[in-house]
Amino acid sequence: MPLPQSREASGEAWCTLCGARNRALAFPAILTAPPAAGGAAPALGGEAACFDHPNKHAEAACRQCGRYMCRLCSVEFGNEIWCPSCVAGRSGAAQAAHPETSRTLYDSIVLTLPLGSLLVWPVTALAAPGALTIGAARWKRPTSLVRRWRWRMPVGMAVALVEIGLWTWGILYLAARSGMAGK
Amino acid sequence: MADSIPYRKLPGSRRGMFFGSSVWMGPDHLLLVKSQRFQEEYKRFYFRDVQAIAVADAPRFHISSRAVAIAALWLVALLFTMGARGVSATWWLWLIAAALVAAWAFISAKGSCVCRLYTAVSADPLPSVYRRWTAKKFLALVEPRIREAQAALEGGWEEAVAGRQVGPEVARLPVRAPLSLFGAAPLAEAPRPEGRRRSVACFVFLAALLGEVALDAATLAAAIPAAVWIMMGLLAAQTAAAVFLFFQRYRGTLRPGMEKLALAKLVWMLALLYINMISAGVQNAARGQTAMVDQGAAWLVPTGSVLATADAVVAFALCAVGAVMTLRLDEAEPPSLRVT
Repeated sequence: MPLPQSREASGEAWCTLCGARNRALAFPAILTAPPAAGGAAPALGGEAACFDHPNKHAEAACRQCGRYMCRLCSVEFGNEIWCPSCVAGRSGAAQAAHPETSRTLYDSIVLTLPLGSLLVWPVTALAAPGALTIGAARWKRPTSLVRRWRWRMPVGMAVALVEIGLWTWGILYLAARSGMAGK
Repeated sequence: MADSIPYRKLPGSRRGMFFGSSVWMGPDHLLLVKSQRFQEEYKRFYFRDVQAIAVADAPRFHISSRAVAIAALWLVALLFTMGARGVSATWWLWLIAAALVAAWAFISAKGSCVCRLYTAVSADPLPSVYRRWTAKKFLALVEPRIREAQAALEGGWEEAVAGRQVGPEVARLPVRAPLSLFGAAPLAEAPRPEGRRRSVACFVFLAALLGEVALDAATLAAAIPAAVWIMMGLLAAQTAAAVFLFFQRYRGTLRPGMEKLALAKLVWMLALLYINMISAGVQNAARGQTAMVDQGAAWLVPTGSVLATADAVVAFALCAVGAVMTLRLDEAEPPSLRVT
């Protein structure tokens, strides 16, 4: 079906129903065939077979452990091929094929706990030691994958220390005052 | 090892109270970062796998943390000017507030978009790209890198991909209307997204907000004997509705949006509590009194014309946004790419 002239010129098209403007950029990957499901070829007599599927023809060897794999089992990542068990176990260089999908931001927790608890200030009595403990225990844990600055952890711990100091001073002050009143 | 990859921040970031999103560019891939305050989730799109990027104009009424910060600054400025009895400055502040809200509403309605990235196995929305100018800058940076990684698309590709589908099967189902990108024949009716747009709790919450606005306006005009008790009743209704909204959102029976308004209202209530206590303390100190009368839950009720006005404005703004979210029709979703 011929496309509207507007798309040819600017890559834009208008929805024929609601009139909203759409812009689409298409790339050559659009032309690649979708991955075939179960496309591993059967192994013939004398041919190398897949480690996990003995009746399937081996098409590659794992870069880490050298196991033969059929097309179904081969995990391609960064121009290298690994077997599923090496990828799952993150063994050796196969770790590269198992990128992180999430991270807990302990530095944000340590910063937010003492500052956020100021909204309901009595909670700082628990939040500040909690933040300090988490900060000490997770000091070496990596922070965000994209943020480069590591100021949250030390600043959060410093705020927590100040709050603990204020609590200690307050308790000592009240104790001293009640002691003086007793005399 | 992952930390050694240098990432470059791409235009656009979505920062909410609890959720945020941004897109970063690595040497051979795009990294979509979705943050939930204390956790980040990452999704990588390798340049060689990207099939298409679609940008569709659509209204996006998003209240960013930047907007909240501006509102907080405005409120502080208002309190200062009212305290200093600067009447003209106060009017200027109200004018600025009206202009800011009008600009936000116009940009949200007319200058926003939905961006979606397609690969053979995924069709992910990019929440951080939600303004048109951001999308333009984003595409200007990303497109050359993807074209560099993939061979140039020859002319006449429309014929080559005729009848081919873009993205995974599930992503090709249109969400609301059969929205065909290039004027193709309408597709079959698709299932609606999960969750309702409105519930009884939504209406109770909005009605209580509207009541609060009316009561604030009435108390500014004349003294109402039972105003405190009525206001406490309205606040109790809002709190109960907020709890129901959180529960419904947790159960997935309500679409996202209203629970954020409820949270904003609860935060405002807490702020009002502290403002009331602090201002009462300051007034007591000015009078030379040391003991302060504990007013209990009445601390939540705005005292004085400044706080009543600010409370009315906040309640009205939340009510207006909530009404738009609750009563509007389903918005346009990202296009379903299908070339025929």
